[in-house]
Order: sequence, then structure tokens, then C-alpha cells
Amino acid sequence: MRSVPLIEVDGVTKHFPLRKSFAFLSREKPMVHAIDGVSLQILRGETFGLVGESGCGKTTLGRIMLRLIDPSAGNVSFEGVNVLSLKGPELKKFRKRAQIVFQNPFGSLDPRMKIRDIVGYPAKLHGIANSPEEITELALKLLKRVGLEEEHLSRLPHEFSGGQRQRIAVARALSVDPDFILLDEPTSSLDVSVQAQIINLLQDLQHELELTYVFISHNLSLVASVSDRAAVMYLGKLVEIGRTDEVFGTPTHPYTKALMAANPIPDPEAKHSIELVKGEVPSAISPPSGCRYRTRCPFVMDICSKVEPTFHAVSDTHFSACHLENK
Amino acid sequence: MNEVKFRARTPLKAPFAIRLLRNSPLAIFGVATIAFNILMAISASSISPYDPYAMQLGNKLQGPDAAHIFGTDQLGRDILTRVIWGSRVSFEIGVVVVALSLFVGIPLGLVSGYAGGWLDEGIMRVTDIFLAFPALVLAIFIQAAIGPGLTNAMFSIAIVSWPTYARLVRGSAMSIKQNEFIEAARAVGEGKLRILFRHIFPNVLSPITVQSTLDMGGAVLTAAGLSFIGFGVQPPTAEWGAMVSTGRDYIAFAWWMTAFPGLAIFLFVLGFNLLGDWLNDFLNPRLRGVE
Amino acid sequence: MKAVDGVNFTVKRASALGIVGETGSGKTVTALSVLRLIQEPGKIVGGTVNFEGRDLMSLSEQEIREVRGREISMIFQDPNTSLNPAFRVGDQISELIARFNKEIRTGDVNREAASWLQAVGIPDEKRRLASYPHELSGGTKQRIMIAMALLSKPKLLIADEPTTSLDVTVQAQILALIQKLKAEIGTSLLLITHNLGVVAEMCDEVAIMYAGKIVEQSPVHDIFTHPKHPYTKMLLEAVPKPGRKRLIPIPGTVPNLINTPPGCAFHPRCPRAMDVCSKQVPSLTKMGDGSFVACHLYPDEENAPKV
Repeated sequence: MRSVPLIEVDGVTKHFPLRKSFAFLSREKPMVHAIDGVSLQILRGETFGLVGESGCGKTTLGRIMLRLIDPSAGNVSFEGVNVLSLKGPELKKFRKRAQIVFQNPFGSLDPRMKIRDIVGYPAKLHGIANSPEEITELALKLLKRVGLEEEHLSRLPHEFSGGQRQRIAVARALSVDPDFILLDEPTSSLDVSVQAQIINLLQDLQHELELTYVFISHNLSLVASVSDRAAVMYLGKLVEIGRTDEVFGTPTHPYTKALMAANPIPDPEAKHSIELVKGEVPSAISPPSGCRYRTRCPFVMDICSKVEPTFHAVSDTHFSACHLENK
Repeated sequence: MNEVKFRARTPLKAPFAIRLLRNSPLAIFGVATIAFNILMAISASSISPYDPYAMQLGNKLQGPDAAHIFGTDQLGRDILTRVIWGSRVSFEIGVVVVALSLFVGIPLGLVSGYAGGWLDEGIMRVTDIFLAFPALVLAIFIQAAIGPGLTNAMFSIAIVSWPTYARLVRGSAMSIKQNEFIEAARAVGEGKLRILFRHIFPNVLSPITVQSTLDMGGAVLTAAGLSFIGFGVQPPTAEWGAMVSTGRDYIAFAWWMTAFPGLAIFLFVLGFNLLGDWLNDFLNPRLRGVE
Repeated sequence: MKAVDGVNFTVKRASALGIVGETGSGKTVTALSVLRLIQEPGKIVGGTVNFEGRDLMSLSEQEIREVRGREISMIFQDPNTSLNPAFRVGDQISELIARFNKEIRTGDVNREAASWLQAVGIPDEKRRLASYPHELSGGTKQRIMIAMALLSKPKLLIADEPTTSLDVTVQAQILALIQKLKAEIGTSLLLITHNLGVVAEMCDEVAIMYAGKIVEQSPVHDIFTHPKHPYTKMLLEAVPKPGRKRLIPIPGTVPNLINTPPGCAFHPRCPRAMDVCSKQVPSLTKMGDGSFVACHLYPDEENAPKV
């Protein structure tokens, strides 16, 4: 694995207005702080895991990386090129290199399109395949690669199971020969046995095609299993980042520790020993001052409400944003 | 190791639809009625016993008998013939009104639903104005302004019908927009216009299909209403609503003048309503991906 | 189509049985059947549910309604659909309290409702009682559901995927809460889930279901350390675990319940399938160590191969 950054996210912030078009009436529009000042790098060839609970911003961050949403502030570059400044044909070229597989196998395929078209059309759009024969040939090749058959080409999405639809979604993502695929909870709605099939498929493909993955999931065990490096997000902020064995094996940030303690392990011997974290995630509209995790942190100190923690290096590759590290 | 083949589910194809149709006697009746009307309209000239305009003043206001199965009207014209020929006018009204409404309503609805913002607000306010009035009343006002006649009637009915389609398409477009396959299309590099035509438009067809089917009957009913009060079709055109209207004056002693055209309207509208209802049930669960 | 076929299990007093299965396994249908909550077009066609000496299947509609919510309570996956959005939460709890205790006075009802909210760990009880469901978070709603299920101090709590839609940290809180209250009240727990981690934490015994049948049932330790049925073994290999780099999938898909494979429903996917597997349905056999397996590899205790 070459440690060359493929994607660089720099100070990305995204705020969503809470209500639309009442701008005339109020001066202060309440904003949802989905992401605040997140910076990280995705290295070529790796699987980068992104975990966090609801409202942490991981899905929004993924969308911003692909420029499906524009950030309120900050930069995203892909292979050194600023993605946010791309227009027209340049943007289209970027779309060819960075693809996405969505969580919901039931919503991510156009219910009126035949599988052949779903999988083959993107290639046509980018000029990879032109004639109907070429498209069919390419679609067939892709379907076979993800474990489906020729007879599926002429079928419609509703005729397939969740696992099969995800395979189709993967085939579609591959159709434009991308370098990078964002996997947004790709197996969250699938059974355990089907999940294993899809994960295996993704790993084989990564090996074969030298793909880079960002794997977003709320399933800690899964992310710990498939990722090389990972980052933990909480309420729009990055709290810990590093190699998987570091972040999940020897977590430093109290939130990561809480997540790992809360994560149910299929092993009756492993019981919860650490005290449960209290409360729930606070509102993203007015996040807590200083460290956002302080309202639930068992190790909270005075400084936590006043100063936002910055990243401290636990090792060359492992970073954590917590005032405890400062000691 | 045993190989397990993936099994695909029942496809949305004609044979399946026909099998499903067989389970619904009401829908079958609806389709049969529509088919009957179509046949009637197509073969009007060959199956009509008389000329629809031929007056036999010596034979006026005759009750149903062997020579005139539906009787004659106040000018001695054969009512059966006029009912048969009336089906042509009815189809003309239905098709033209629905086509015009779609032509205006779909693009406006698509733009409104997909673009949002000020465009959406503007278009919706316009539809609000139209929808604030009861359809028939508004149609009467419009036709009062532009004059009587079949063409003007169709035009005014279309004007009151398009806002419903625009609303329908807009709502549909807005909910389809939320689906991830739209985001997937963007991720793949498709532009806004392409997404609108390739993905959103085909998926709004279902609710439109149902509404159009129901409107075929609705348009005829409205036209009948207009004719009833003197707008719409002008004599001597054989149109069911006009026939019912004319028959009003003779209802006490020539009930057949209103009864048979009225029955024709009823069957025509019922047929389309039954089919529309069935279509609604048939199309919806599939799109939601519900088994 | 048989969603559930000949399922037998026992829930012991004050203990927890977990029913684990994937889609189509019949686990939810099984749970709903206990309280006869199966709706049209489904129908319970046979079997008995022995509860404290009575067969619930033979009770009248009136009688089974008395049992529901009182002696046997149930909580579901989606707290959104379980609470009535049109009424305040306090009213819904109070209504239930009054139902189970007809003589109680209004003042006492409110006090009891507040104390239950406290018991399930909801702070600021008075304000919460006055809230509508949509104003509350998922975790809070689930806690209220638990309160409503347990306020009658039922003998059995059936929980169908109670934490699947919750965040991991909230899930841990809710599971701990269920454990605590279960111990305090002495309720038995029937937990339906697809999550093997949750089962490992919460249950004393585990039953694994596949295509409408129980294929293995064991005390929790044995299921994880000495799984017998090939499906159980493969399921454990396919589950993500920290430290496990490669998941081992089970080839194929769960069978279509309209057309289950002949013999053992798992045989098309089983690496150890034998001839008899496609012909004869294996019956649930009791093994020497107290576990049950439905597999031709274990025809009876004496001939069970060492695996």
C-alpha cells in the first residue's frame, strides 16, 4: 500500500438551515451543525472506516467527499485537485473516478430501469461503452463479476432481494472504472450471512482492482474488521483517528472507549466492565461549548467546557482530541 | 458444494397483469365496459340503424319499440343511433382534455417538484388560484367568456384539469427526488435535465396513469354538465350530456330521451373509474418495493 | 406458506431465552404467536402455549386480552409506532396504570407514572410526562415503552428487536435497564433478535431459527463455544468480530418459504450435507449436555460424531 493521499479533506464544515424561506422574518436562522472543521486524509489503496452514532455527520462527510453536497466551508481535494472548483466536463471526469454505494438497497436503484441499463448506462454516459452491444457486454461482465447471471440483465429491481440489489449497486459503481468508492452503510440492512457475502465481494474487488474505500458504518465490529485505518466522529467533530488496531484496540478518547464498551460482542465471556455512558447525543443545533462530548464524559474537567480540544499524537499514526491527553 | 441459484421474483409484465386482472371482477367489468364503448365508437357508422341527424318529424317522441329500440327524440331522431355516435364525442372529449392537461401539467409539475424554490412557489400559487374554484363552476365561467361549442368546452375543461396533474406530478417528483437512486444518478455524473427525463419522469407515470384514467370519465361528466346548461356541445351534435339536457323538457312523457343517454354516461364513467381504481392497486405496491 | 413450523421451546422462570434468526426465520412470528397477535391473512394453525399451567391458545378473545400487557408484555422494535402520536405520554402511561389497578386515585396514578419514568432512567419526569411522543428521542421512547410493559409486573416480557433502531451507546443503556428491571421484578425474558452480540449479553439460553424451525437450542455459553448445527457454526464465522479480518460467508440465500427445500431446509447451503438431508426433515433431538439440535449429523446422542 503506497501511503499517498488520494483524498484530502481540509477544515470541512457543513451547516444546514433548519427551516427554509422564513428568512425575511427572523434574522437568526437556527442551523444544524452537521460537521465542524473536519480534516483528514484518505490514502490510496486503503479501506478507511468512518464510525459514529446518529447525528455525528459521517454520512454528510462522505457526501461532501464526493461533492454530492457542497460544504459551507473548507476544501476537498482528489489527487491534489480541488474538487469544489470543478465544473462541467472536469466535474464529470471526477464523477467517473469516485463512486458510491448507498445503504438502502431498495431506494438506490431506479425501479423502472432494467438492470442492464442501471449497470450499463453510466459507462455510456462517460463514453466507455457506446453501442447497445457494448453496453450489454459490459453490463454482463459486471454482473458476473458480482455474482449474478445473464438472465438478470432484463429484470427490474423489485424482482431481487436486498443482497442482490447491493450487488447490482456495486456493479454500477464499478461500471465507470473508479479509483475510489464510498461505501455508505452498504450492508446495514442485510442479514448477517448476506452481509458476509457482500463484504467478501468488496474485499476481493478491492484487491483485484486496487480500489480505495471509505467505509461508513455504525457497526463497530464490522468497521474494525474491514478497515485499515479509521476515524470516530461525534456530533460533527472528529474525535479519534488512527490505524484500526490503535483506534479500536487501544482507544484513547473517552467516547471511543464508551463505544467499544457498549458494542455487544458475540462472546458470552466478554461482559461490559466499563460504566455506561449516560444520556444521549445533544442537539446539533446548539452543540455544547468546548468539547462536544463533555456532557456525557465521565472524565470531564473544567477546561472541557471552555476550550475545544485539538488533536494530540498518541503515536505517529494515532491521534485523539481530548484534554486528558494534555496531562 | 451445492450451488444455489439466485431466484428472481415475479416480473411486472403483461401475463402477470392479466392474471391479476382476472382476480378482480370489478376491474374486468370496467375493462369490458370501456372495450364495449371503444367498439361502439369505432363502428358507429356500421352499427347505427339510422342517421344520427335524420329527422322524422312524423315519428317524434315515440317510446322504445321494435323500430327504435331506444325510442325517438323530439325531432324524430333515433336515440339509439345518437347514443352510439355520442360515444365518439365522449372519447374525443376525454382524450383531448386529458392530453391537454398532461401537456401543460406534466412539465410544470416536474419543474416545480424538482427545482423547488421560487419557481415552485410561483407555479403552486397559480395552481392554487385554479383549484380554489369548483371545477364545473370555473369551466362555466371560462366558457361563458369564450363562447359555446365543443372545442371551447374541451379547452375550458382542460384549463380546470391541468392544475391537478401539476400538483400530482410535483408531489410525485418531490418524493422521488428523495430516493437514493437520484443521488446515485448525480454521483454517476448525470446532469439535472437528464435526471429529470430519465429518472423522475418515468416514475411519475404511475399516479398520472391512474388520474388520467379517472379523468376520462370525469371530463365526460363535466362536458355533460356543460352541455346540460347550454354550453358545451351545440345542437344538432349527438352528445350524451346535451341529449340529457334536451330531454329534460320532455321527461314527464318521454323518459327514454334522458334515461338512455344518462345510462351511457354512467357506464362510460363507471368503466374508467373501475379501471383506474384497479390500476392504482396494481401499480403502487411494486414501486414501493413492497412484496 | 408456513412461517413457523413445529416450534418448541421453554422459557424458564426469571431467565432469558434468546431467539436468533435471519430474515424469514420466523422469529418474529413466533413471538407474536405467544400472545396470539398474528393478524390476517396469517393464522395460527396448531400448537399450544403453556403459560403457568394454562394453554393460551385455548383462551377466549376476552381472556387472552386480559393476559396481554398484564401477565405477558411485549415491546417492539420501532418505538414510533408503539406510542400514539396524538396523546401525551403521561396520559398513555396513566391509562395503563389505571387499567391494571382500578381502585387507584388520580393523584396516585400521576405519582406512579412519574416514578416509573424515574425507574427507567428518564430525567425531568414531569416535563416528559407532558410531552408528545414526537418531541422525544428514540431512546427515551423506548424507555417509556419498557416502563409501560413492565408496570404491570408481568411474568414474561417479550422483546422483539428492542434496540435494533437505536445507537450503540443507547442500546447498551436500554439493555442494561432491561437486565436491571428484569432482576428486580423477576420477569422472564423472551428476546428476539438477529444480533448475536446482544444475545451473548442478555440471554441464558439461545434458540437458533432457520426457515421456520428451531435448528439448535443451547445454554448461551455452549452455543458460542461449541456450536453443533452447521448453520450456527457458519453464522458465527460470518459475524464481524473485532480482530477478525475475514468474514466467512454462508453461500446462497435463505429459502423462499413458499418453496422450502425438501428434507432439511438448510441442506442446499450446508457443507456437510448428506443424502438423507434432502429427503428427511431432521427432528430436534436432545443431546446429553442439555442442548437440542435438529441435524442428521446428530441422529441421537450415542451416534453423534465428534465435531
